[in-house]
Amino acid sequence: MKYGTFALCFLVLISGCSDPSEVPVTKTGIEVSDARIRLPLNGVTTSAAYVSLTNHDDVAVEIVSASSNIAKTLELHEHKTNGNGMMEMRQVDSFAIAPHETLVLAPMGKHIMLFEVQGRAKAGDIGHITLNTKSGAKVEIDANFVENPNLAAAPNNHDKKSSSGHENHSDN
Amino acid sequence: MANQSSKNDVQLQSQHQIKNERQGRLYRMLWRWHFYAGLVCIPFILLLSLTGTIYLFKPQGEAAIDAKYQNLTLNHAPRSASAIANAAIAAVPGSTLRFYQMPTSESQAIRVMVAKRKVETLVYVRPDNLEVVKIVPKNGRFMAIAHDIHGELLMGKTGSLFVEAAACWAIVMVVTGLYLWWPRNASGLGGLIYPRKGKLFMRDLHAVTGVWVSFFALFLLLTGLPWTEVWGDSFKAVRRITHTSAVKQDWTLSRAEEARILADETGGANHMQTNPNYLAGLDDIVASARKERLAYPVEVAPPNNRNKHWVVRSQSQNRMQRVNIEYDSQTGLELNRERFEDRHIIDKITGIGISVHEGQLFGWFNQFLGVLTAVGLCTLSVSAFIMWRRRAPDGALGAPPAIPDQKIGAGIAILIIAFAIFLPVLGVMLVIIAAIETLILRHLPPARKWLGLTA
Repeated sequence: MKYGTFALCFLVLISGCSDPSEVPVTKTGIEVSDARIRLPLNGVTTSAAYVSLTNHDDVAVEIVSASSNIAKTLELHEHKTNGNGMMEMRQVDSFAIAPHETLVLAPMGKHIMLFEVQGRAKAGDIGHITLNTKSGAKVEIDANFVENPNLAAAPNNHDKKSSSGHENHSDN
Repeated sequence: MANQSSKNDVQLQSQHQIKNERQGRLYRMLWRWHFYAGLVCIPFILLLSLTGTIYLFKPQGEAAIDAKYQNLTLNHAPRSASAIANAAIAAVPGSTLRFYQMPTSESQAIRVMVAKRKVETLVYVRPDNLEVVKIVPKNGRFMAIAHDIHGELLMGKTGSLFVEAAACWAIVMVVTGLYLWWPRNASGLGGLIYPRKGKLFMRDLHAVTGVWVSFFALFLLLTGLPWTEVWGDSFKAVRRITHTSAVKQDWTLSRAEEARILADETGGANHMQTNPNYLAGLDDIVASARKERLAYPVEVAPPNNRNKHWVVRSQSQNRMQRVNIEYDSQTGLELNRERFEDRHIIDKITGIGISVHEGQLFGWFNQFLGVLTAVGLCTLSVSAFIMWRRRAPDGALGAPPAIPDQKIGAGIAILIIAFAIFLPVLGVMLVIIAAIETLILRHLPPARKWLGLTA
């Protein structure tokens, strides 16, 4: 009987630790995830950066401008369907992030336009972008350069990438 | 007057006797079936109880196995999802991406499933330096093996049929067992809900354990049927015919079916669309998936031969939490999403049944009930075996003796036919057994005697 009780308690105990999800942690400020800059297409020095920004605070945040060491000018852009039903891209003054909401910059939506991207970045390099908010606070982003899917990706491209991890990355 | 009443008494008495005799015959017949079915079932019940108990703790087991790939100290900010996926593909040369599994913490190795020809491999990649820290074939994972033994004895379709047959006979055993247990002349609850001490202890232990686990055991058996070959395919066919089909089946498939789907989806030329602008990539879909915060585990699957668009799916073992979201392969915008509530009612019922079967619907208590049922089934098997060895005489199998001139009444015949239709494998086996008995065993009196078939 004693063994039975012990075994039962053991089972109850270990079945308590089931879900491998992260232990919830209270976060504050702007959380940055999935920050990426698309490698410019050949012969072009413009590109786009995408990122997801989660506002953990109780007040709204407004991104009003962006700057970076790897591109001369950064602008905030969005895609909108115009009167003719066509998608067009235009600059906007700011991105607003409501309290406890996530703003996702993504293709076909809002994004950060980079003009005159400097240097010869490759996939795996890091580009630093600073977002300036209306309140004066800054959001620092280390974005990965990623292959541009518009490069008519074929399986061969993947083989060129090594998994050795010896990638250069530009300093901030 | 006295003569008349005593005549009535005699009539009543003989009616009573006939009823008793009929009940006694029925009891003996069902007991014999229970015995013969039990001999065949016991090894399977023990194996399925053991493997089932292991698989009940799949979340804990896999968390323990992969513990060393969690809580890593990262030396670098995380790399992009596409870089991680490429590292996984490079680790298995010639492979393509099957899915990228969304991490649940920032400090864990990322799981990426790649496929090459018909083989799927899970690759673990460190997010900081793209180092590949573990490679394991999908079917080689510990819990996958437990699952495969449980469902098909590692023997593919043949194994699946054996398991289905054992499950069908186990249903018969629970039903006949309940009949045998049913109280007729009981005085007190001993032998009904608790075992009596002494000579009857083993018999009582068997009967009492049986009645306590019968509901749960039947639930496990019935909720396992959608997985089987014959019953499962028949179920799908019935749904097709009655126009109550789901678009796609939701529960796990046999290894053969998985291989066929893999070949369908990845065979032939790997054609990625070319489009001038704004083609969505893995990083964009991963960002969208991360925002959704679906239940673990979440798989991000690229377009393939069969699915033209990206699919982000939660493969939670609690099927009520499952969500499938489709993202356009060009734009990365959400096309549609299917939640549990959106599914067909039959899929919702089977989904809940499967989640309970796997012990994942209502937390630890669900797992606990599963363990209790497995322990009960093992107790039934072991007590039955002990009783059999104690009672079996030398030179014979030890079946309960048959009563001569046994006939199967109309009611029982209808029940048998109903069972045979609902459980086709059972029906086929009954036909085969009847054939063996009439065509072969009839001419082998010693075999008949040993098996206990002769009255």
